[in-house]
Amino acid sequence: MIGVDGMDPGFVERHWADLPNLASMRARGSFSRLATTTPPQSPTAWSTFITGLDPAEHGIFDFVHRDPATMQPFLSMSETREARFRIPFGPWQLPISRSKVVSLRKGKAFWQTLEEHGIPATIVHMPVNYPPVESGEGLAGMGTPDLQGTQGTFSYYTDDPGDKPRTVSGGVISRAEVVDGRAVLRLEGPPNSLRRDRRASSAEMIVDVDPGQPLARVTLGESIAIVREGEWSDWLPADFPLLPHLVSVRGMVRVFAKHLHPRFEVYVSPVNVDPASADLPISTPPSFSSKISGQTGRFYTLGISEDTSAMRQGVFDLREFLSQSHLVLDDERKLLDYSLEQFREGLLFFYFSSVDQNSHMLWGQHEAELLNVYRAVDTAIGEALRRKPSAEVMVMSDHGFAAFDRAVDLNQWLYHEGLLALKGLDEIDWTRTRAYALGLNGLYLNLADREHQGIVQNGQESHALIERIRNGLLALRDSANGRAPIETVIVTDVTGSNARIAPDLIVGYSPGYRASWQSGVGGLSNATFEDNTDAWIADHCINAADVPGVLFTTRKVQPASPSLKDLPVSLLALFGIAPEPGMTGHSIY
Amino acid sequence: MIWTLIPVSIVYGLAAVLLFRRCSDEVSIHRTVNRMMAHVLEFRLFLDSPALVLRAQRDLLRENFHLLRLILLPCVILAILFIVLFSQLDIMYGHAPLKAGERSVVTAQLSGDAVLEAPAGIEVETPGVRSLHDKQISWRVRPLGRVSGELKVRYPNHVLTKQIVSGSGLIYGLRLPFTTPEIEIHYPKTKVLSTNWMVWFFLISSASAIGYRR
Repeated sequence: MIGVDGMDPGFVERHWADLPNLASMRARGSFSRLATTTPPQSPTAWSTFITGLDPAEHGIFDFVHRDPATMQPFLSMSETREARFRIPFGPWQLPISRSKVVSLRKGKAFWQTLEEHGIPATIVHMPVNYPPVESGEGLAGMGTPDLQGTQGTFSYYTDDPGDKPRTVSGGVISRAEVVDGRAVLRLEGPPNSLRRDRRASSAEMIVDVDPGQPLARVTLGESIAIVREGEWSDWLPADFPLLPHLVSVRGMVRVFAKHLHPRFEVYVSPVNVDPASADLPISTPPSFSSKISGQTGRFYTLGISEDTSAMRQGVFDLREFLSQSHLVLDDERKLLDYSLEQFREGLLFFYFSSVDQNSHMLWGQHEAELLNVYRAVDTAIGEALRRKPSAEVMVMSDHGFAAFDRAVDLNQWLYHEGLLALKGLDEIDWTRTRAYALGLNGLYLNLADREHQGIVQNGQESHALIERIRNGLLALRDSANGRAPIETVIVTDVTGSNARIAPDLIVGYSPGYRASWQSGVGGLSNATFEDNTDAWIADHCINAADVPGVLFTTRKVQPASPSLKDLPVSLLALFGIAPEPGMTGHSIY
Repeated sequence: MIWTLIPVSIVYGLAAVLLFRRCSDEVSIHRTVNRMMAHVLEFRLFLDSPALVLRAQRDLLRENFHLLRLILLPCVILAILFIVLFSQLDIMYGHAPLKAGERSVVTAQLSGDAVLEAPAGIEVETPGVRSLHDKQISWRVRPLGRVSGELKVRYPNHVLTKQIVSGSGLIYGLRLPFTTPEIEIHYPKTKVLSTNWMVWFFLISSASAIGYRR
C-alpha cells in the first residue's frame, strides 16, 4: 500500500504519458477517484483511513482544535503530558515520573487487527500515528514534532541589517555577526524541562567562512561539515545539554549556505529527532528507527519535512524550496528501498509527503516543477512494482488539490453579522459572542453548556442559530467577482466524548477559496475576502466533493464509488479478516 | 573488532597485576584490607554502643586513606599507561573507517595556502576552507570505495602526510595524548557490539586480572 498525500486525480489524468507506472496500473488493474472525508484535511482523512471510522468517532476534525474551557487552540493529533511529580532544586526541577506523549486519535488501527491475526505489518511514515501504535514495525509520520515540540521551526541567520531579528510563523530569524570570518550562532533546542523556567536549551554552531571563496566550515559540537554557497550539508547530529555534562538531548539539523560572500545568510533546518538515537517516540519498536538509520543513514523524522514555512517567509526562493523538497524525497526513496528490501510477507504501508507539500506551493503556477515531483513518485511506485511483482499493490491518496486564490475570513463575516463581538481591536469578547470560527473548515457555537463563557442555549436557540449561519454562508457572495465562496455547510451533530471538540458546522469552500490564515487560528483579518498573496497557492480544505483522492490497484476491481473508509475494510478483506466493529466501509474486492 | 580488543585488554589486566606485585607492598595491602573488614564487623558487633561504632568508623576511614597510599604508585602508573593507550585505542575502536559515498572533513593545522592530495578512490570535493581563528585548513573528502592510502597536504617547502582508511577494518596510526594531530580526519564514531569499547576493555582486563591472581 503506497499512500501519496495529495495526489490529485485530475493532475494524473492530464499527465498519463509522464506517469508510465501509474498508467500501467490503470491499464492492468484499476484507477478511480477516491471520496475523501468531510472536512478533506489530511489529519481527518488519514485517521479515517487508519481506523475505518468517521471523524465523529475518531475525533480528528482539523489540524487545530480548541479547548472549550480556555478557548485556546491546540494541535489535534497528539499531546505531551509532562511528568506529574518533580523535586524543585534551585533553578532546577528533577522529574520523578516520566512525561508521556499520547495520540489523540481514537479507534483501532487496521494493522493492529492484522497483527492480531498473525499478519506482519510494517507501517512507514503513516500520518496521525505519533506516537506510533505499538503493533508491528513502524515509523511515525505527519504529526511528529521537531525537538522543540513544534511542527517545524527553522532558524535563519543573516548579517543583513535590514532583516530584523524576529519570530515568524514556522521559524526564527536571527542576526549573525561575522568577525574575522567566523560567525558563532546559537541554535535553539528543546525547552529545558529540567529547569523551572523551561528556558530553551541551545547548542553553539560555529561557521568559519573562507576569506577568499564562497565556502564555509560548519562545526556543531562534534559534528563538522563543509558547504559551498548554495549547498546543503549532510545531517549534523547535535547535543542540547539539559544538565551540563550530565543530561542532554540529541537532535540533528541540515545547514543550507544561502549566501556566504559578501552577505552571510545561513538557514538551519528544524531540529529533527535523530533516528539513530531518538529521544522522542518516533518508532515502534523504539529500536526500529536506529535499525533503519544504521542501514540507510540519517533521514528526516519531522512529520512534515518540506519547509514550506521558509518559502512563505521569503527565506527560500522557489529553487531553494525545490532543492530542500528534493532532499526529503531522496530520504523517502531511501526508506522505500530499505522497506522493499526487508519486506517478505504481510502488509507494507509506505507514505510519500512530497506531492502534497509541493502542490501547496506549485499548483497551477509551476506545472512543470510539480510534474517532476509526480514523476519521481511514479518512478518509486514503478520500483515497488518491479521488485515485488507478485504483491497486491494499491496506491491511494487522501485528497486532491485546488487553487487557493481568495481567503475567506469567517470570523470577520460573523462580526459583521453581529454574531461575534470584540473588545478592543481584535480580542474576542466571549460574553457577547454567539459563534466563532477556528481551524480551516470549522465553525462553533459559543454554547452555554460547553464553552467556558458560552451564551447560546442548546436546543431551540442553537438550532435557529445554526440555520441562520448556514443560510447566511450559502447566500454569501464575493463582492470582487460575484461568486459563491461556499458550496456546502454541514451540521455535524456529534454526540459522545468527541462532542466537546467537534465543530458544530463544517464549511465546504468552493474551489479557489479557503479559510484565511487568521481565522484558521481563531483570529480576524481586515476583511471578509482578501486576495491570497502568500506563496502557499493551493489547498484542499474546501468542499470534499471537489478534492477527491486517487485509488490505483494492480488487481482488476470495479468499485462503484470507493471512499477512504473502504480501504481498511478492503485491506482486512485481502487477508480474509472481517472488519472491526464501527467500520462502515465496504471492501472493493 | 572485539577479537582484537580482547588480547589488548587481557595484556592490560595482566600488566596491572604484575605492576601491583612489583610496585606495592602486597602484605601491607592484605593486612589493611583485613583491618577494614574487622572495622566493618565492629559496626554489627557493637550496634548498641554508639561510642564504639563511631570509633570503628574513624578507624575505617583511617585505613581507607592508608590503603589509598599503599596503592597510589601502581594506580598512577596504570593511569598514565591508560592515558597513553586511550588515544590510540579510541581511534581504533571508537571510530570507524569512512563509509564509501559518505562525506568527511580533513583538517590540517596550518595557516596560509595548502593543497590536499588524496590517494586514488578518495575524492577531494572542495578547495580548502581557511579558518583564520583556528589557523586551520579543512577540506571535504568523499571515499568512492574501499581505500587505504596516504593523504598529503602540500604547502610551501613542506609536505604533511596521514593514512586514510575507508571501507572496513581498523584505523591505525600513532596518536599521542594531549596533542592535536597535524592532520585530522573526522572518522565517524562507532561502538563495539553496540557498547562503548571502554566498557569491554575494563570488563575484559578486570576479568583477566582476577583470573590471573587466582
